[in-house]
Amino acid sequence: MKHKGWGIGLVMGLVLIGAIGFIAYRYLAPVQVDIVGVADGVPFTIETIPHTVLARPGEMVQVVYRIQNNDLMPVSAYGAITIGPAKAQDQIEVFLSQCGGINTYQNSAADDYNVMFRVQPAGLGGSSHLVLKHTFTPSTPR
Amino acid sequence: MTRFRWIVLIAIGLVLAACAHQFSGVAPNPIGPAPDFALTDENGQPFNLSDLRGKWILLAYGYTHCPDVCPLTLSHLRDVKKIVDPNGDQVQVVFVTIDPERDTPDIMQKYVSHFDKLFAQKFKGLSGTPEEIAAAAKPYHVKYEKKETGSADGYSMAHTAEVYLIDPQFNWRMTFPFGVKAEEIAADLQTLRQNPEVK
Repeated sequence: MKHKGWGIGLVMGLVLIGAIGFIAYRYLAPVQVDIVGVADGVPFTIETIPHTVLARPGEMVQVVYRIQNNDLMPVSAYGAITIGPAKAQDQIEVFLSQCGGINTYQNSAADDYNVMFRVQPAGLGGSSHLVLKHTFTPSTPR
Repeated sequence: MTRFRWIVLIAIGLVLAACAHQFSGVAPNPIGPAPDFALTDENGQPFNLSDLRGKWILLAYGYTHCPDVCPLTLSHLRDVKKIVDPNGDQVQVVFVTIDPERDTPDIMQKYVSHFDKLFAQKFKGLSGTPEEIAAAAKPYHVKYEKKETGSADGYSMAHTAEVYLIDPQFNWRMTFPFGVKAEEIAADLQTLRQNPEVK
């Protein structure tokens, strides 16, 4: 009888430790962010550096979009940001990197564009795997 | 008892690790010498950025006709200065124009004076020829382009909007994107001033 009580206590203790560990992990563990660049109707080759980053919650992270315009002329394009999955939109804070929007991409060597962001922990309802996607489309002269 | 002491020490270690300062800027990898450049200051005098060796430098690029980002950036840098070095001369704000066509030294002097009224140490407002500005922008990965607007001003300038922190040894220590709060930049600067070896 004494052994049975001891066993139940041990199991409950292990469950409690496991639960605390899981919650701590969800709030402290790095969040995987895939960095994606898509050229939609523009003659760009886009390389992201790195392709994937493990971001610690609250840490400022810098990634690079290396854009090569393969046209014979400079091309104007806009980059639109989307975050995936949709439920995790508020889990990532992307910082404005430009004033006014540089959108002329020269047809010379590839050029690097920095993007900085920080993530919130996955927590209990968030995601531990996010996608930061820039989609480049032709811009219409105003 | 010894085991209990270890558990307490590990717990304290974990709490301290969790409380460690988390930087709001991004450090270059590896940290190295800041690129130097030669421009003209707000008094029309030749000026090298490395003339400020020995001080913490907060470096920003923009232009005086900028409607929003540049005045906000300079307001943030004024607030950083107010927090970390209000009466001293150890933190120097430097604003470099990317619109040399309009921003002469005289105009830069008037512009930066809107933001440094609280301090004995005045902000630096640097201008130069288009070639000199390009040479000063490139090593910091600053990009800019002229955009015709058809307005009375004629054109605006699109530009990257980051702030660069350089330490007294003239090493480029950190880059802050636009939107980071003045208090966050000040906290990073205070941490680096107290622990210059932190990376």
